[in-house]
Amino acid sequence: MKNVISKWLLVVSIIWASAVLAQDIQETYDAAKAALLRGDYQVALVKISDARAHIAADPQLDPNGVFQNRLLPNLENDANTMASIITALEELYSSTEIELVFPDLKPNVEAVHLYTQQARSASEQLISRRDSILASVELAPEYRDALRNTVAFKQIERLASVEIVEKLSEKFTDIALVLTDSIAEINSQYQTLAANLEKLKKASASSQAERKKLEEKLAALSQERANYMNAISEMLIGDNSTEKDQMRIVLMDQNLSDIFGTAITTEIKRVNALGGAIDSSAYRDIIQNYERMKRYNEIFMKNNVAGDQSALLAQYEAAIKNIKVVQPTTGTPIRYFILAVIGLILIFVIYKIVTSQKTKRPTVAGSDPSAPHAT
Amino acid sequence: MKQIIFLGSVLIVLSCATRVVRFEQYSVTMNLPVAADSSVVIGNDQHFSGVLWLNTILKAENVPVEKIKLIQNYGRYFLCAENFQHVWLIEPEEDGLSGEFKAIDVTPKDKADRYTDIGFSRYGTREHACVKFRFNKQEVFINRKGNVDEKCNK
Repeated sequence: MKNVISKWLLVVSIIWASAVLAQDIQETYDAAKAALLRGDYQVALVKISDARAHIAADPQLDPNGVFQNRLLPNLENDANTMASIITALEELYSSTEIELVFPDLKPNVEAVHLYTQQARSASEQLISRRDSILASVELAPEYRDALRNTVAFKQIERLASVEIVEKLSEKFTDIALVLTDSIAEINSQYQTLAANLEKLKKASASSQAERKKLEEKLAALSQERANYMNAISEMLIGDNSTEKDQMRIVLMDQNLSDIFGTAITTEIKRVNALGGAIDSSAYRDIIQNYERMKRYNEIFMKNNVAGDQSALLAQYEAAIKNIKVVQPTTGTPIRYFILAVIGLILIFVIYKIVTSQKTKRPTVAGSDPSAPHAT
Repeated sequence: MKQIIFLGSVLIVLSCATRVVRFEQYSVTMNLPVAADSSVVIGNDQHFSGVLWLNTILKAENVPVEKIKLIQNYGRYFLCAENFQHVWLIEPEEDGLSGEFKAIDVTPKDKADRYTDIGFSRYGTREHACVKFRFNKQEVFINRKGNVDEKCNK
């Protein structure tokens, strides 16, 4: 068996050697250049070395020494530059991968913001450091383009766009559970509070202040719920990658679709309950809330974590259209009256001062330039 | 008198020698795309050194050609393309506007064969280099006058 293998290896090496020896320097040089254009600097360096060996064995292959003295050194220089860039990129990849650790934070909305910021900053820094490595050395443009095909470059691209998100997804999966629980809790509180407000409105004895207080509480709950949903959508935003699958499963298990549907329904009820006219500032808040809900629907649908809530959103939009917006008045008639009286008093006082000064002024001879002078 | 003539001739030789610089006209193989008007640009956008119009040669070969291979040896151009039946030698004229050309059949015994897997390179010494032409897994040497041989002879 050993004999068969050794004979086979001998035959292969003879064929390989003859193929290599039969090559022209020009062809070897072209092959080295092609390898470098693919970003394969190692093959390029081997080919350059082969070409040199051929020329050493038969100097007539390179009559003017153009390959030996000019073309091969230039190509070798480019290959070595590419090698140094790739080494630097590999080091950058390893160091970033080791250094990138997301701390354990309490799972809440704030944690989502902090994690997202850290991930974004890490990704931007990685790309910026990669670009500065690329810019720090001189390399012909065609080889610079070839660098994009190298494993090192692609690894960094993947780390910046996918792996950081992947690492973050582990954290987000835990947070998703807490956030959906919180939204469900807020929905429940919201519904109880809305029912209380309804009762209060029906009771003739209820005070205006009490109702206003409840309405403010509802608005605060609405805002808090929006923050939680914003955090969830922030976790889902970006590419629809498989790295987020675990988080998606949690969101579906937690029935985000129902939670989201309930949130929209209660918002519709709140808008309908507003009944009369509201001022433009409150209206702007409602519109913003509606736009956010629309955006969340798109994100949740894209990530397959909730069903399409377009029908509810249409109802929400219709409810908003029924709202009457009034311009806030800048003053009341009494205020105008008071201002007018003050104005009249001021005019009267000024008139009195001016007239009293005229009557008190002494007449001095010669002080009036129009008066006749004695000579 | 003889001494004056000798000195004069030495001066003339020396003055001629100072008016010559070393100049080698050769190239590595170029793969040049053929334009719609049958022309090829020698070099590229950055290193442009001339244009060859190949209408007559392409008409003679009568095969579709996208790219040609071209090499320069001592100022003469040698060109060929896949499925050509000849290597073409073009020698620039002194006017710098035209070139004489001739077809070289490297397989005179087989008039109908076409060259595939072609490649050019230079082989020899600085003073005497041939164009090595590889085709159909064979190779021949073409000297500066266009003569074909199995070795690179003077």
